[in-house]
Amino acid sequence: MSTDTQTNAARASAAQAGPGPAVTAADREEIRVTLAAAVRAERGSPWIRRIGPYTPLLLLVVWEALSRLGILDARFFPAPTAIVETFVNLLVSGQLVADILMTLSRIAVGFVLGAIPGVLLGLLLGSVRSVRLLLEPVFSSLLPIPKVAIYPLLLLIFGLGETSKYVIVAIGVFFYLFFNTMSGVMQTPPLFDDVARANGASRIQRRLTVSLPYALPSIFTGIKLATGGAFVIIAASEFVGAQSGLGYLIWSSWSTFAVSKMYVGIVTISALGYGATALEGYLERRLVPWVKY
Amino acid sequence: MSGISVEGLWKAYPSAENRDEVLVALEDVSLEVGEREFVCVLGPSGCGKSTLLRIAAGLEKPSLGTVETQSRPSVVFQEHGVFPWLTVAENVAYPLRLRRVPRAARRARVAELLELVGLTEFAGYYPSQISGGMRQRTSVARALADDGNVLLMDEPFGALDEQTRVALQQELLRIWEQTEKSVLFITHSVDEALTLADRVVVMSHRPGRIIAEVEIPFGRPRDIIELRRDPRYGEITYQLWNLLEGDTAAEEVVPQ
Repeated sequence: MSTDTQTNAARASAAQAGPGPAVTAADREEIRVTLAAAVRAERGSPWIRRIGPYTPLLLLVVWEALSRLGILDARFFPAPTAIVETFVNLLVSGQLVADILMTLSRIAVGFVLGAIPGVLLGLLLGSVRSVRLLLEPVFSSLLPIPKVAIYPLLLLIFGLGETSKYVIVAIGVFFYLFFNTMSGVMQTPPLFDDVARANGASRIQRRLTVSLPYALPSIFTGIKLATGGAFVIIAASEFVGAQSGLGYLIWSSWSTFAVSKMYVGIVTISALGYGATALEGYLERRLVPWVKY
Repeated sequence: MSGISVEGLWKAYPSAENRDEVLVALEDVSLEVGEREFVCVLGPSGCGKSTLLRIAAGLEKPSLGTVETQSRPSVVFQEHGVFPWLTVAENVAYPLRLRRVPRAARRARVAELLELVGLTEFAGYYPSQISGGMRQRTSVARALADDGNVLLMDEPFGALDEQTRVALQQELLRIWEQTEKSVLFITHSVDEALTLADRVVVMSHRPGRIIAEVEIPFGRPRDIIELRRDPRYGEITYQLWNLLEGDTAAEEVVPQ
């Protein structure tokens, strides 16, 4: 390939330069260009890297074709263009934006309410053995309860208002963050704790300067899993316990057999989840720069 | 007062096999490190020399006996002791951050130390992006930032290749001569011990006892390459090896 020939040329010129006359500035420049090309080649084809994020679009194109050709039943799988039409209508009417904002605000508030205690308790149980022995069984036994199953109870306690949605998202998010933080903290090599102690760090300082950063990569795994979980939980909750939000949009379309409206809801949730994960990926690269990606 | 004073130190651990038994790691160890003295503890692996350092650092408690240090010691750990989530400069700043030293003072001190260990250009790199030798320089700089009068070093150069090790030994001596701390340096290498130390403390195979103390006659400052031409270098090497070998032989004759 072209890269190879360039590399060979550079190698040859470098070899000539070895014992004989000194390397000229032009040689250096050539070697630098070759090296840059080699580094680019190692990172993988730019074509694949650029096209990667758009592969879901390909899926849509196939779907459109199958739907138009009548291979897919248009009653259940309306063509993407039909869905887009509904999408635009909903967007113009303002209903979609209102639903999106509703769902997002429920997720955001619930997420914060669940993530903060999850991380703090994870740090505590991960680093203090006695507390872990006492309390881990409690959380482990609560974990397998389907969060949606306790929603009716939450509706009784908190009513049909927003609080019940915040709480159910928070409960779901809590477990992801709690278990991931705890296992991250428990894997901290003792040497790092020794380093901190030898430098005179107090117990709390050790948790904040050693356990927390060590657990950050696994905390981020928890955050990503929790995001997926939060969308599932909020959609299910809005099916039955709300008069707004994307879950409500999907559920109410079912009762009126407005299939393309239903798809608008589904695709919007998918897009929001994708966006949220992308945002978290960005934050992760910023906050955990010492891990190689 | 001396830099480090260890008196009648014993350390035992519970045996993994038998509940009622204990495993003795250190047996009646006494030693002094004078102010501005460089002492190397030389012994085979598993002789409890790292345990001695950990007790001196306050990371473990003595079973019996006492260890006193002039101030809270600064420690240079074996490899992997630098935090992978902090850059070189942040690692060096760590002890200062714990003590809430103001940002400007912290920056100035870190810059000074990075200059001293030759890592100025790598201030913003993460440990995963630099070589093992640079990581240990970072570790040394962090211990110096802590700035106690007592420096404990636990085989800091053990995992490095020979050339890097010699280069770092020379640098350590240069830096130490400028700071004049009391140093307790743990090593299993005869060469390293007699190259660096004013005095070498030789420890036995487990349970760790002190079997000899050897004064090293070389002056300061030392050129550690030139040192190897000194006829006394061979003499002392021979003497230290005999002490270690004699101990191993005794171990083999009287198995436990």
